[in-house]
Amino acid sequence: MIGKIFVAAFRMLFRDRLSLFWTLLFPVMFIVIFGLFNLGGGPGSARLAVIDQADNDLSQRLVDGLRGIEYFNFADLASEDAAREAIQAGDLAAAVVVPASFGVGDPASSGGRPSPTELTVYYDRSSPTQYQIVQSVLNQIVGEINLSAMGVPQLLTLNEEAVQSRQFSFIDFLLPGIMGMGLMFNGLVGIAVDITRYREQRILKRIRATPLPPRTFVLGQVLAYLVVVVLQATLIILVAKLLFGANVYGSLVLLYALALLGTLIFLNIGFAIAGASRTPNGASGLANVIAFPMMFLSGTFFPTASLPPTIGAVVQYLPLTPVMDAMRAVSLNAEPLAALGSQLLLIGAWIVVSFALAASTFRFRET
Amino acid sequence: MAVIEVEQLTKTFGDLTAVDDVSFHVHEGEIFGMLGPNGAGKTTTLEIIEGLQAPTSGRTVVLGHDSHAEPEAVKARIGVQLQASAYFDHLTLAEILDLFGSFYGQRVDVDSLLEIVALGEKRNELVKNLSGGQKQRFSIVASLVNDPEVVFLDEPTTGLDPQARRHLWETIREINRQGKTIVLTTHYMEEAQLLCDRVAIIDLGRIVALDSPSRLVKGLDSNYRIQLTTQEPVPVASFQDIDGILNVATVENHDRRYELQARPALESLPSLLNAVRERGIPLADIEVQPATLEDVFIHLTGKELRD
Repeated sequence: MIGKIFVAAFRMLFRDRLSLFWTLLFPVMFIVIFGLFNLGGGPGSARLAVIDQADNDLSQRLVDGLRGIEYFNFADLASEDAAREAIQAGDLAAAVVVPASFGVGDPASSGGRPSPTELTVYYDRSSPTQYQIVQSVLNQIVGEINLSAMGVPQLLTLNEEAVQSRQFSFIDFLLPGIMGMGLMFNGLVGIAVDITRYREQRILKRIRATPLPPRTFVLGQVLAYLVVVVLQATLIILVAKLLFGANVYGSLVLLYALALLGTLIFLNIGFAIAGASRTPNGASGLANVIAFPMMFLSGTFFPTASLPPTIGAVVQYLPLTPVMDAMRAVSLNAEPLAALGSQLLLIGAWIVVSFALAASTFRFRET
Repeated sequence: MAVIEVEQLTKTFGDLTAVDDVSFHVHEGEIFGMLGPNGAGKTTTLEIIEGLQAPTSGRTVVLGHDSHAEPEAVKARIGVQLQASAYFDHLTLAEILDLFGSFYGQRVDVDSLLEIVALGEKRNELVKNLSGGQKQRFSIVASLVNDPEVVFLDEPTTGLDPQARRHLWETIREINRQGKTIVLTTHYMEEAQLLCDRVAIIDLGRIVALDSPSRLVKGLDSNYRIQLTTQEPVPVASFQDIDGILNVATVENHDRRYELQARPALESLPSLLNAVRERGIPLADIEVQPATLEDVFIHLTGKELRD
């Protein structure tokens, strides 16, 4: 019974283009737009091909050395000709050709040492910066190989240790914000519009004419919305991660749990709005009037700390703020559950208050 | 046997008395009609019987259960089609029937339901892709998901064209033939007359008459309607003092047409025709029709029933 209601509610959400837009496309759109703003900040990359005609221990050291450089993406090309064509077509920044004679010893003249050979490097003249990087990397690796081949001990080594002060990007900051925004719109606008539409179409009354307890119907709807929020959050995380390399530093389980708790608040408020509105349009208007200011104030796009103190003092008690704060603390600073006491207290208080609001406003039967 | 007992039912909304001390019984297996203009209290009466509204006073008993005290017991065994009710926009017909069927302990197979109303081919369509008649047939069949013993249809044919309406009557008769008692409301005289075994005529929250359509008509003082058309206007007084003619009136918007009430109607015709000839009334046409429920309604309430 409740299973069927859940499945039906879920189906309807996915068949309704408007609700699909608000639930899935709208938050993803924000991720993409803001993600694109953020592009171009990183060092970028270059596509490189290594044609290893020698294929011995020494040539392998060279190839491994190059592969260890994150800056390079490697293209799998078999021949010099193919590499030259790829460079001409602009598909490749440079190609390193290791000749078959590389590292092969000449026992007569050098007592076991490999005889000198030349590496050929093809490069795209139109991108000199990329070539400079290729060149300096090659010089360094070739130099190291030369020295070790001659048995000279390395006197100086560089111990490079980048000090990562967990340097998150804007997209990392934005990710939990968009999740919070998405779950708010999903709960608030979605349920308020759905329920008022069902009432206007007399579907609620039609259901009352069956032996089904109204609370079972409501519960089925709520379950469907909770699952949709999980899907929505997953989609947001995937898009942010795959397209823009965003990171979730803390526990995903905790992040999802917070998203579900937050959704409960907004579903309750959504039911209260449905109780106070006569038409779906009215419900949608009221829901958006509540949701939009909160989206901006509660820290979707910028930290609430940058608000003027007087406004910030009020904003911290808005329902979205503790949800967003807690999600950001988990996602960005990998805070554990124990560190979220004050936010959880506020979230809990809002769940109670919003439920009371819904219970006193929303009636299954028409008034 | 009475499947529905309505005893001294009254429902008030503030100062308005929507249902005013109504009592009647519905018998097992009949098609029972509630006929009356909009606002007469038909829907309110129906919804109290269905357990959707509470009565102000009096009580309704359906299949032995008080619909206010034991609404679940009543709801489990009845089928309800609401007036102007829609179903979910984004579910197919089969999905809606399956969903509503899951609300009941006993249920009927979805496809056999759709066959009853010839919508089998539309099982995977959305409701919005149905014609008006199909929508209405669907909303009727949606009231049968639990194989109910009593089916309530609130204005099932309102807004349909005559052909779709006739099709729907056939559907309702078919459901009735399967042994289900049917209670329907309508403001179409013809519908009540052709479809219902018994009709309660309702006006201003009261039942003004209750009987089979034919007996309601036969009970009229004038059970035929005689219309005369003359070649030129004549005074209404020309038709007075003719044996069997009870009353004469000009027909609205016609200056040469007169409606006569006669009793006994057919026996009065010779004396009417004699009088017309003797008095030199220039007769153009004469029509004699049996009276209808409309005449009953006009007779009982003094007003006409129109859409």
